[in-house]
Amino acid sequence: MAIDTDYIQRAKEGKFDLSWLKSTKSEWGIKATPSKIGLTLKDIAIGSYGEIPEVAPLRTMAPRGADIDPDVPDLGYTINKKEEVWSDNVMELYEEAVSRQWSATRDIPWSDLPELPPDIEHAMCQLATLLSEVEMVASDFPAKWLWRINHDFVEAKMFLCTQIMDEARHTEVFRKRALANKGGLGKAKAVVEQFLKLILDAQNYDEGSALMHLLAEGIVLSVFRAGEFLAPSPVEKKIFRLCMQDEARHVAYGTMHLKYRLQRDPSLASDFHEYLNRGEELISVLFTTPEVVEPMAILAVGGVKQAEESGLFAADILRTRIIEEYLDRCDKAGLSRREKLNIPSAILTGLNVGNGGAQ
Amino acid sequence: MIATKVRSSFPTKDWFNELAQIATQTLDPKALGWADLNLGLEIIGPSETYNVVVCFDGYEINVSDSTEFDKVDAIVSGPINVFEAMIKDIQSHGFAQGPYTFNALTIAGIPLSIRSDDPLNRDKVFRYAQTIQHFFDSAAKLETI
Repeated sequence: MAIDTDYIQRAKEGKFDLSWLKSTKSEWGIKATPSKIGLTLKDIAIGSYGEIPEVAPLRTMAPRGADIDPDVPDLGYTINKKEEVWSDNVMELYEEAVSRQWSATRDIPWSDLPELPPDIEHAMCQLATLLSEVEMVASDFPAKWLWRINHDFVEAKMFLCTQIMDEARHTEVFRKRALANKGGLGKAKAVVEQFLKLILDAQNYDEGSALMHLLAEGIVLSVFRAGEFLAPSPVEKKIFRLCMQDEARHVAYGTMHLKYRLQRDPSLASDFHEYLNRGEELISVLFTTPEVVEPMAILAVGGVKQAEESGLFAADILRTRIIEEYLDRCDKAGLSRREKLNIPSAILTGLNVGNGGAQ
Repeated sequence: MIATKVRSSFPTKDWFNELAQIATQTLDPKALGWADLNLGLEIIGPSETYNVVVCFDGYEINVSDSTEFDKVDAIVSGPINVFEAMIKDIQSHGFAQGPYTFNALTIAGIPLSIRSDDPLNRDKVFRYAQTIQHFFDSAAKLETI
């Protein structure tokens, strides 16, 4: 691109160009009206800016509705169809995420952490280690795909940015919990890392989103609910409640994204079944991994000795709840997994699934 | 300063109105953010069931006259003695303790259950968990008869 060295001199003489003022194709007079909570993304989705193309005509960072130079460079986005990333609730979820941010440093009453019996502290720290380990993949995965998404779908990108921040905070808060009460970090298991690798290595956004937003985060949401229930003190209760809120937004995006995707291309259903098949197989291993199951069983009944007497009663309830809620969300997205669920029947006791579970 | 002298009986429209008013006045928008949820409460007594709709609307919490009970996002249902025990715990400690938090009472489907025709509307209960807990914890400031 050539430098117009004369421009400085002309501007100094007051000879402004003003072509941007006189000849730009604009929608002068357009006026968005704030809603009750302020000026939202939905409120400004008006005029040509509010028209989100099914296929992005260009690959630039320019806002929709702008008068774009004909010689803009191609920025090389690979996700250029709206259906590849969109969900009908994404604008609302972005606004909600921004509104409901919290601080793991400021908003958790760390100084109120009580001294706990060693087995309870160990269990809490093992759970915190697991959660701190898994949460960051939900930052890494969207970050890996973010730059590939066309800016015409910027609301989806912005939502994913909030998710990245949410998950950074979850990683932070559980590390802090493990290190804040004399317990320290616990065991990191290979099977957990294998599941994270499956998400991170996804060959396309569809695969990764189904595995992460729908399957993994749906499970973690249930674990956060269980964590709030089992928490040994009000400090952990607040941690889990705040994390639960964030996670539920991510699951809401993933569910509605899958629905949006399948409504426009039902032929993709078989691909999604295949992705979830692989994910469920690894999830089944997690359901039988002591480092994953036993801390919650111990927290549920108040100690190792009590857990040895009562068995995995609480873990059974939780597992059932996790799978039921996951199947409900799959139904909502239009991808019934009830006949195809790839989880062994021994794990599915009491569940309403058509196949009775994989063998 | 929030008034705590109002004496209302539970469960009545007056009681929930007072609770919603206190919860709105004490809600820190920067800490909790806005919410968008119509939550039905189905409080089952020995002889009759009391239904109320709590609207979490932006930064305000209201008890609705106009929202039909069967059109809410989700319904929380359970015996009145469970709700009473929750309120008593909140009023004894200033906020809900271990088994009496809203999430703890609903997670297993007993003693309180959450039902919704739409799993995403059910999930909204989780999306606004801290706000819902704030609402119930506000009962600590409400003299109840």
